[in-house]
Amino acid sequence: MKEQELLRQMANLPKEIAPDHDVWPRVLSRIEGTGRVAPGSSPMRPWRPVAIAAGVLVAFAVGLLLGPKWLATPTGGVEMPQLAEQEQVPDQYTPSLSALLAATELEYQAAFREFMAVGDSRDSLAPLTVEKIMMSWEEMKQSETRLTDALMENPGNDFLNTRMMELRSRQLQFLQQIAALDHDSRRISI
Amino acid sequence: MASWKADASYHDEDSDLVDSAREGDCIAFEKLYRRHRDRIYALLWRLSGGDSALAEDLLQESFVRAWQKLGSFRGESKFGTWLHRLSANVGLSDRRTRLRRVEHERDMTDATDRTATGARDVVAGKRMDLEQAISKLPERARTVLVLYDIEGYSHAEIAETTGMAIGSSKAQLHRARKLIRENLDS
Repeated sequence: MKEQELLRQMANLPKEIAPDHDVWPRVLSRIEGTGRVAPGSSPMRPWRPVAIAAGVLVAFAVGLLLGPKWLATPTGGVEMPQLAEQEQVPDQYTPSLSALLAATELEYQAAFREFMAVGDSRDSLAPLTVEKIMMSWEEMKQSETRLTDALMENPGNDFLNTRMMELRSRQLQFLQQIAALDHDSRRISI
Repeated sequence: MASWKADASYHDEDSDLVDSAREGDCIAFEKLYRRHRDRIYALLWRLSGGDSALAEDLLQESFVRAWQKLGSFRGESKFGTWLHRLSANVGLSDRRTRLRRVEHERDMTDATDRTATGARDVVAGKRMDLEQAISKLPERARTVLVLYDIEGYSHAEIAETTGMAIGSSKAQLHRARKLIRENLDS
């Protein structure tokens, strides 16, 4: 094929393609509420309990991937954080948000138990897999940093809080996926 | 071929909607979304190598970022131009797009079935051969070819968007066209 023919064919390629699914509802769910924080509204932080929970998990995951084998107690067990008692969901939270927080907390507990059974999987993973995991993690860390900075300035912003909840949920899913990578059949059911 | 260079102080059919959206009007923003969705999706679909699910994720991200950055849009170019640039950046910087450069995995069944309107016809056969050939290109070559030959960017604009040198952009374009011709001739 001559180059002119190729250029002609490329010029005829469609400039518009309709997606299979309309993503507007997803866009709307993410943009709704932005910039509509009432002055003087309480600076609630619904992501905070989950943030602490995920933070513990994150340290655990990084330990799995990068460093010492376990976050273990002197007796060899793994300490379970006492988050439920320390971080109660405040009364002013909406019911749906409270339910979401509770569900995320349960998810976290499940993920944590999963990690207990995984051990150090880094050596058993392919380099490309480790690279992908680290890229994923780096992306989430960058998002976390930006969101945390934004929330410091606008702690009551519904959009930012929702985004933080979504990020924590992604982090939990991420950790669960790492747990599923156990190659030594040490995984337990939860 | 269209140019994506910014012109001074545009006022077009999008301007009123942009003004409303900038003040928080989601309905106005939805109209902008409906108006530009398919063009942006086509760009992202090709940049992602024909991965529909990834392209939809990138489409969502592009419009969310557009909403967030509307305040910085000063009307120095058309809204469509601004949105297109923003979306290209989203597509090129996405982690999953980068991963595809490493893995080179593609589901070409999906690419083969797709046409501009979702319909399948005889003419689409040739087009799909070409779309497949494009999606099989190495990532950098594909990026340059999509932006230059299909979307009308200049090499300078590609260099600015992708961070590669202008000379590299030209070389990648030459390489991309050569690879496509070889693919289609084989």
